[in-house]
Amino acid sequence: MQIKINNKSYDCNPDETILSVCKKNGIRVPTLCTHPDLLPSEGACRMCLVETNQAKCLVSSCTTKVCEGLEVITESEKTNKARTINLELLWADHAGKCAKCKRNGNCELQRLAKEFNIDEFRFVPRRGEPALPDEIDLIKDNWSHVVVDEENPSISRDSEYCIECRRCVKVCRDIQTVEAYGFNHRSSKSNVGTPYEKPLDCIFCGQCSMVCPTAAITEKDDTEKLEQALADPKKMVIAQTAPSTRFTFSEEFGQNPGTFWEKQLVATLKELGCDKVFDTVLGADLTIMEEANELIERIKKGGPFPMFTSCCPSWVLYIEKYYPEFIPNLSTCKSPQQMLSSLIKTYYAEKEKFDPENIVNLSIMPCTSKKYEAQRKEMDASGQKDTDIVLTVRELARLVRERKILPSYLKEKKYDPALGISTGAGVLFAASGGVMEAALRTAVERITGQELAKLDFEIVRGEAGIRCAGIDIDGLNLKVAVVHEIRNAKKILEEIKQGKSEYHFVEVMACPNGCIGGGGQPLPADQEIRNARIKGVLSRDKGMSLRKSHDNPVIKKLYKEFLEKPGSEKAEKLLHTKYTNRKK
Amino acid sequence: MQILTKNWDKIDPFHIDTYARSGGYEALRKVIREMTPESVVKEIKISGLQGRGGAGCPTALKWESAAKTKAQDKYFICNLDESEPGVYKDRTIAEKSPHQIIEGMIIGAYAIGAKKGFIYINGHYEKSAEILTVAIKQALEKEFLGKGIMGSSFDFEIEIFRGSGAYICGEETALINTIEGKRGEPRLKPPYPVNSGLFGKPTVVNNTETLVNIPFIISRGAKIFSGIGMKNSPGTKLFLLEGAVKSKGIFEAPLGTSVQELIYNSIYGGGLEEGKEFWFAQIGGASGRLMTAGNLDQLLVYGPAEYPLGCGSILVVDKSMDLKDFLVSWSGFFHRESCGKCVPCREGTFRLHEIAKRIRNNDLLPDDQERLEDILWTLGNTTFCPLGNFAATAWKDAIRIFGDKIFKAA
Amino acid sequence: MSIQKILIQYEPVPENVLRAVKDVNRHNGYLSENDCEEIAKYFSWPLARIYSLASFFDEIRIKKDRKIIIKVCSGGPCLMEKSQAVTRQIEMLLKLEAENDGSPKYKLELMSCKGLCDRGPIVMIGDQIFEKVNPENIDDIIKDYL
Repeated sequence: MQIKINNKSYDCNPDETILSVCKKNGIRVPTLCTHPDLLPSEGACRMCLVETNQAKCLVSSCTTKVCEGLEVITESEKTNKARTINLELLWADHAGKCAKCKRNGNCELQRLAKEFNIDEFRFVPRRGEPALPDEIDLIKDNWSHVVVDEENPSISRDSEYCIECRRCVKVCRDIQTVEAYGFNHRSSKSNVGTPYEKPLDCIFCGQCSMVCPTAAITEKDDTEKLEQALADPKKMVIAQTAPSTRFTFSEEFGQNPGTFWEKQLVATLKELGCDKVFDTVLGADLTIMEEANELIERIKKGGPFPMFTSCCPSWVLYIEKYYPEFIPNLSTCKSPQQMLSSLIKTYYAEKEKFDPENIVNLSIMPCTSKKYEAQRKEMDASGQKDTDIVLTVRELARLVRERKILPSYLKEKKYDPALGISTGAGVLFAASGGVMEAALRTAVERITGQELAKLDFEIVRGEAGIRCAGIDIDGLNLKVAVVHEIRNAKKILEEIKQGKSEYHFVEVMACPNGCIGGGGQPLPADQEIRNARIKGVLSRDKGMSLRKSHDNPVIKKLYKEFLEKPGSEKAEKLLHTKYTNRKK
Repeated sequence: MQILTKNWDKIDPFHIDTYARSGGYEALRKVIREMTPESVVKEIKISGLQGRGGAGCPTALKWESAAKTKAQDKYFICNLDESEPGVYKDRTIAEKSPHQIIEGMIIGAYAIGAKKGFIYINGHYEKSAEILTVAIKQALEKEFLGKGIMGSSFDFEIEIFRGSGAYICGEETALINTIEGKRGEPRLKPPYPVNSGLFGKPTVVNNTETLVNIPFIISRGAKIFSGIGMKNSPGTKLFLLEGAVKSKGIFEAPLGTSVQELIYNSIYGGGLEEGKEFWFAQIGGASGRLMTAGNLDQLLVYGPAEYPLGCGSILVVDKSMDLKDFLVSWSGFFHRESCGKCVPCREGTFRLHEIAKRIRNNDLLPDDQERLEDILWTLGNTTFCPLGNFAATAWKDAIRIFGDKIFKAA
Repeated sequence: MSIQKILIQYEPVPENVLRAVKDVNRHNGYLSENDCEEIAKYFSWPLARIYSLASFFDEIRIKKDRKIIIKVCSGGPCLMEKSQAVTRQIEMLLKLEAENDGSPKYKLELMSCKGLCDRGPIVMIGDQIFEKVNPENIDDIIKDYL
């Protein structure tokens, strides 16, 4: 089928919307409520209005399907007028303090305001601080109620910035099935928020902050904590960087998605003043050692199956809150972040004769939930809080920009070798399916005692929400599944409950495509961008000389010098954890 | 001309027998005994009956589409959520002749193949709900409802669903959403309810007044019905006369009656109250247009019309009134009732009300006139559902007719 | 009646959610956080979905009203019957301003049509509806109510 857009013909499918045809062909149509991950659109913002030959009035291109003979004009006097007035209306219902805003320069509303020359309030502002005393009288009737929520360690909310696009409601309800947000009240009082304006009670995955067009939902800012630690001469700041961050940090500085910036990332952290920079990938390798061991033990003992991965704190919290009956199925392994942190404050501190109390463990994560994980009570294996500060990629980039550091101009640096050697297996943790593939590389070799001929388990890679495979290991048919996004995990949980699936090992990541699509990653993100990031991950694994966790020399040394063997008493204490039923 | 209200005097709403004695449920008997669902739809099609809720969409069109779908479960909903300011005709129907509604619904359900129906009653209509509850019970006892209606193999049950005070829920998809336990926000169309409505099943939503026409059409024949009123807008309509007229209330008149006649004819409004001078009339509630003296000869019909008759209310305003009060009334209403989903309606109705209050208080800001024009434009052209346009209609007329007077300090 | 006793009357299907919410609201005067949680559990719906639904409607209160709420119909027919003068009278009597939340004890709001246009002007105090109100009898109505 063909339609005409701005007098040129384009091919399209009959079930496509006008907006998607425009997008595919590089025709820009502004929108605030449509997000490529959250289709179909609800048509709430009315920015994407276009003229067609099918209707007298303007139609929203995000909800209107194409039809035979359709002719569309995306820019006209009328569409401009509509967009400008509606933007002016929105603008007056928005905080309007861009200079101080976290999303300054990367805000969808700000971008449109610039494009349509909305540089002043045409309507009396309803939010934010009144500028002049005599304005107070004018605005007393129309002041809208602002909700600020800083009650959780992961996500900040400030409704002053909210433009009621409802993308967060959709992602939380449709992708994560948590439904922490609702669209509440009616008319001009309507707002997006939690029931009874309660503090956010969810799994802290931060996907809402990934889809928020403004700064209404953002990662909790912990940069000041880091600045204080860096300024304290007594403190030794030891940074670690999550597997996925080396593929996404670059995006914050204008590089193409998927650009591998490991050495720039290390150099940046050193430039900021971190004393050591270690690699969470080593923690990932360690996780594999412990998790593969746990799987083998469960196979020997006959269960409980399936064993679920436990490196995603949002997934762990989801089980604790909504399906606590599956707690015994969660691997007891801590996440790579927590494993490495506890080792830094024990093994490394002992070895280098540092007082662990003076160590500040900083981790650079793709994830808002890691902030929550770090402050879980049981995460104190070293005798104190194992991870002190967690920064998302976005926060780090913000701090770097504030400090006027230009990562691409820094001299590249390597990780500190003590805990900074890693393998391709650990790097794979960055994307959905990676933990599974890394675990298989180790578990299969450990069970068979033979070296794998082919390391790539392509069968567990890909985009599908649920990917299942049967792996033949010496006559044992190991049934595995890889799942991302909670909606898919929920499907698996329900299937298991009904006795319909017989998996041995299931990897679950809460975020789309795993950590690469994490709630603390650079904005914007959609499937295309995430695919580019995954490409970067896979090619890095391919290019590494060490590609199996058990081949990591530091891991070997760790077990020899300190941990003895996977599942040892010491490993249990430092690298494993317990879970709590948090169902209400 | 009375076809809907003819027997109302003879009916005790709490006794089904009084309805049956005046010819009630004869149409249903005819349908069950003599007619196929297809022939019922055909009859309604011939009659030319149009929806009486406001938009005037041909009733047979909805029925035909729903009847055609192969779905096992279908729903038939009677819309008794009227909340347009100045309209209480459906409440009156329910209070006077509840079985007329039920009979119309059963016939409709038979025609489309629905087994379950809802009467969606405005949350404030306590008495209507009470009467209809009793009426449903009595119809069940008489086997007009339930399993095997009148000895046939046709099953149909009716549940009452009470609204909770939201104007927008009169819109059929918003109404469906609230039955499903969702916010009363209008849905995107297509898909239309006749294809995917309540719980995703084909659903017909008909206004109460539409349904009470059905028994007449079936028992007297579509031809007789289509001979009443206008060719393209047949039948009668319940008009509501309010404001400065001598006789206020509900009047049944053929479609195509002029506003002039409705206001001044002694069988209807009987002219204006003593000492009052006609200023303008608002046709069809708060969302309706304003008609000045020069246009009173306009005929009220469904279909394309300069002055859409909507749900049929005529508010007569005399010269003693202050237009500013009306401006605030209209803007306040639509501001309160906007569902809040789309930007132009949520923010636009709010700003409209803000400016209305400034007009009333004589403290307009510079450029308010320009702002107002933009708001009305965006309400009229860019909202998700027609509510935005409703909010702008009367305002636009007020500005067109009374012009700058609105902006001048009193 | 306890909330469980109210809920048990409803089969946990979607079309009963709003009915149950309204029922609880009627019994308790408003929908408390705890009520909302109980309803959510009963229907196995997320709390946010129940709250989002409940907060949409005029009739359902999600907060306990500390003030006495008086509403005057602002529809055209009531306006023609001098509802505006009734509003002015209430403003004078209670020394407050309509649509302004400044008074500590009362709140005066304009309300949408209740379909009682043949008996207007309509005034609501709390849940009680008063018909054919005029500037002369409103004082007594309010005093009697209090």
